[in-house]
Amino acid sequence: MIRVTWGKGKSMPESSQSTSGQSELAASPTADVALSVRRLSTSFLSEGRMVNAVNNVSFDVFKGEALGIVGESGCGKSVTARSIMRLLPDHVTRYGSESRVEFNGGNLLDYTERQMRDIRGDQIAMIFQEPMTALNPVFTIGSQLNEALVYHTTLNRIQRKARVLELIDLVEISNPDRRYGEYPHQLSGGMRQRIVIAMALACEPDILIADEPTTALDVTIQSQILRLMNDLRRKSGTAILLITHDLGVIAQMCDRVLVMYAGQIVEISPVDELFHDAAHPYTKALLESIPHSGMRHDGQRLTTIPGLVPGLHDMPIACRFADRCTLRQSMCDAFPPSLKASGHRRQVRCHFPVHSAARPLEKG
Amino acid sequence: MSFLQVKHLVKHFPVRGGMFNRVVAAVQAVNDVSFELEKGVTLGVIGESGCGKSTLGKTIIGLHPATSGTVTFDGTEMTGLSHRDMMPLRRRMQFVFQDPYSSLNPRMTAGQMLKEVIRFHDIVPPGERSKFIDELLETVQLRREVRNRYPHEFSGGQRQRLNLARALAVKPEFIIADEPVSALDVSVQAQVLNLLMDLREQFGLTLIFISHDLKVIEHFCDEMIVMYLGQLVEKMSCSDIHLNATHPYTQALLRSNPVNDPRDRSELYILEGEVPSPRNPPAGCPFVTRCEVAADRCESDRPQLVQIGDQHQAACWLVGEQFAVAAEKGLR
Repeated sequence: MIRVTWGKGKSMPESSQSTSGQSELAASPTADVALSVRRLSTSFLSEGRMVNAVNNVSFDVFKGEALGIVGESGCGKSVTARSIMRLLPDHVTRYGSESRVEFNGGNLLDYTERQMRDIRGDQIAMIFQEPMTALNPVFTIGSQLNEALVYHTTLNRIQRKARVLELIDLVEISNPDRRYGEYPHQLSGGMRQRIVIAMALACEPDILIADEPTTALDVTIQSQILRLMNDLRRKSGTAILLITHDLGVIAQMCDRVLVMYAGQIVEISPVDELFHDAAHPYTKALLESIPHSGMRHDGQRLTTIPGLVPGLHDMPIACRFADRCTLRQSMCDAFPPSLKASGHRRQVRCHFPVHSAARPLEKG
Repeated sequence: MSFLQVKHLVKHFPVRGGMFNRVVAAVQAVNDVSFELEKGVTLGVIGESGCGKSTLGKTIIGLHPATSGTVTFDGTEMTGLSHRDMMPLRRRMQFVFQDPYSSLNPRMTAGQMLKEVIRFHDIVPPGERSKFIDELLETVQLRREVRNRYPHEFSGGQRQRLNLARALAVKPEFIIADEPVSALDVSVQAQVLNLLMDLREQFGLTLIFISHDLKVIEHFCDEMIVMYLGQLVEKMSCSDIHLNATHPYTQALLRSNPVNDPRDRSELYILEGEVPSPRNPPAGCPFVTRCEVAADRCESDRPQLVQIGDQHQAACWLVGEQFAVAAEKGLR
């Protein structure tokens, strides 16, 4: 069995790289893997039927890296994040029998709600798109920041207050003493998101999962928040799992990228290769459909992806992107492609990948 | 004379409170905005949330009555016209809203919605209505069968197409589109933008395109205006915006955008601070609280929009002065 986990490079022995054929993803995490997701399948019980939202997703988050998950609405990126955090309602959610989320030697999917509560906010923290709904409107900023410290630490009251003020200061909000007693509605959107980040960082988590953290914010505020997240990663070595639909944010922030389509990972790649030499036709089309600055409108049209994302109820049995793919061949409708190693530190789910490493093979 | 002339347009929303519900303050959503738009040109309006770009659009088209100032459309002054006098003008202009979900009536089919507009404005004789609806749907690349469907049966992109079909039903010359692609995924956004480009050419439309996305504006528009806190701070052509951007806010906006390419990654530019409240904007330049190069004068006096080049205006004391000095030396 060949182990294929593509990290930030230096830590991975060359010999473990698979260059051909299908690879099996091994189950044991290495020293610098912070979190391993293995064969994650998440389904929901909806009107008496099981609807599969995330299908056989496997990836590693390495310590200190910024890993991006990109995809269009409904591709399963948020469900993946919420499955890791176990934030989906238990009574309608089913995980696949082989699904594992390995963290610190345990499988998060087997944990009880009580065990999860010890992990959430302490070792893995999450920030959400809409900062107002993540904050409780009837408690002050200070008391909400205090809550995580009460639950996860043994600090006394005075130490906790000092830590809360330190946190508010850390996320670059002026006047921490005044903000301590204020309510969420008294803050602007950007400041609320900073408070949510401060909350997530209260216990210095190993992993920060950020689900569209800047989508609701203006660009000038977005750049403030992105810099803040970058600084924190540099200072405390927190790994960031950044979920977004904005490829610009990915280009700015991430080391590696997962591209998701219709509940599956279609490509895993270092960020530079992804933008310059996309392997999956979907990734390529997605990148081409964004207007680029410098590309003026003189009759120049954007590349579009024809058709629509397949519905959860009628997923194609073979390649899920085949219907919309310009390079479709008969094989694409017959066999589902598996996620295969393709080039250095890259994986792609396509019978006919389009990146440079795949080109010589096409002729043969 | 320009196709559309906006002169000193002001829109303030009263804030009521205190005893007897008096007007205690005003949200200065649009403050003294003037510009001209030629026929067939697409003008982008860019700015961050709360800068008054949507209010500007709605005030121009008459959805909000203007507090003061004038809007002249093809030689007719629209501000102050009675409802009846507005009717013939309304047919010539349309508004497309951001949210394709809430701007469609959930209880009417696509066909009924289009028919309502056509009947009300009496666009075609009753016998030809059905055929005209088919043509409209075809224009926006929807299949004919969808006329019997309700809005919830459409995807986001299809709904926005239906909105466009409804706007086009009256054969307008002028369309204001308020963030028409912001709610859509990028691949669908590209489809709708391409469609808009085709329609613009096919019908010779004049467009005001409101967006917060600089990439989309740059790709789609001929000219753009940048708004900050209700005021127009810069108006320029969309070619080479990165070279020509002059106002400190426009420059900050350009540099705050994430890179397109990870190889261009550098330390993120940060514009510190936040937008002041439009209830109580600074007395001088609206941008003075966040501007890196602000001088004393910027705090006390409001800069006016000055011509600084061909099709290029900016409202900044420093830019104006540099330009005046340059003009004196005969550099321009």
